[in-house]
Amino acid sequence: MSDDEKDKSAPGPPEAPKASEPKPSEPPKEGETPATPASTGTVEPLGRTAEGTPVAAGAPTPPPSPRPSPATPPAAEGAGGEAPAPRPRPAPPAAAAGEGAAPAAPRPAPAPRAPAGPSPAELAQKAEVPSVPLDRLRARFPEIAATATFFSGVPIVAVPAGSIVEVCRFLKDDEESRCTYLSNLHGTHYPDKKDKPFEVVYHLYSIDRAQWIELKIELAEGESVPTVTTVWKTANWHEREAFDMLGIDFAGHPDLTRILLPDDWKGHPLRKEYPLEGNPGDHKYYRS
Amino acid sequence: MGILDDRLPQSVVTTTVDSVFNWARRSAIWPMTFGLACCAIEMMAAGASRFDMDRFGSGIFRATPRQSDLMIVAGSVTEKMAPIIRRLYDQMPEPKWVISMGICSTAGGPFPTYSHVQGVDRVVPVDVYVPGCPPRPEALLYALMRLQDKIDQMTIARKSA
Repeated sequence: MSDDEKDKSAPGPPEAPKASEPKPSEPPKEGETPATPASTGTVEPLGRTAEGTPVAAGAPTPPPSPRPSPATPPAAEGAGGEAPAPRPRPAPPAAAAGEGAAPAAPRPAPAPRAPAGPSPAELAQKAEVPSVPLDRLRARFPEIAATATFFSGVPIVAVPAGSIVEVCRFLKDDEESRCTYLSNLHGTHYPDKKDKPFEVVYHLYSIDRAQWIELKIELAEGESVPTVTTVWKTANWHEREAFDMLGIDFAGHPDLTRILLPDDWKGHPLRKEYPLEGNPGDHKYYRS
Repeated sequence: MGILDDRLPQSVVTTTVDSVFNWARRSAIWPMTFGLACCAIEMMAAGASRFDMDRFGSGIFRATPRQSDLMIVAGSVTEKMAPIIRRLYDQMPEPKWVISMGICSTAGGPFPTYSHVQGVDRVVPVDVYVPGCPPRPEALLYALMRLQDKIDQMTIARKSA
């Protein structure tokens, strides 16, 4: 085996010189490899003009001394050196000649796109859908139902605070609409709306019709809403949550106390002016 | 010990009171059945057969603080929950230990808000903190081993610092 290994090792060295043979030929390759950067190097002054004109002005003069020797091989390469050259040539005129003039042509193109209006998806989102509860509301409370808008296939109706119990009772008891399920009741706060920054939103669902309808009440600071616990008992805890987090007062609620926060909490954290980290005096476990 | 060796029969082993106490204490750390959030799921996994906290004598989760040695605070601590945690801790008999499991109970985690306590060590003294969100069961077992090391340093005179 040792002999075989020697035999194997013997042919090895001759191979090594074979590998080394091309090495002498490599120097020209090495000359060429710098030649390709040199070819790009010949282009570099143009490229540098794109990057920075002040550098391009001074830079070309120092590089020529090392580059002339590699500069000749690119001439030998011929097409290889010329191919990259045309690419930057059109670029600098665009960059140098006039950035303001060239983009001026494409700029008017996006301009008409902007005022085109809502996208088809947005229009589809606000598309009107058939709704039995809304139809019944139109028949019974035409003035209220006239405010209806649509979003994601749900009609949204603005209701005056004074008539919310009447509207809810009608939508629940009416034989056609049958909105027996108060899916959600929540408050929101829009501090930018100075006159009426608060909203209470009622998400009603008709199980018989498999259709939704939303009722919205806009409220001023300190204004109270009649409770709908007389219509749906589940409104009890929902209204307590809206009171707890936003301080909305529900007139006639049987037990309007905090439901999520500790009983001794001060303030209503979901109001936008409430700091996320809370107030230092809020609680004894708050970080110092 | 050398003096006693000749005077005692071979079946008698002499040791220190501390060693016996600490061996007994660290070999049966009964945790309280007490989970607050998703870390509790990992705590349950640590107690179940795959990771098996029973190997450390800690698999017996007691349903009352009065029979528990260890409270694993597994999950985010809200301001509303904090007084209840303190009450449960006060009901545990001495000696008792606390492991803060996960970043929520350790330092508030991703909830620097009005409703979260920024570290359960504001409420009860903590012996071992476990980082992670949530920590893997191995991390909890490692915390348990570190707690055992801590118990080993106890003396009957005082609880180790």
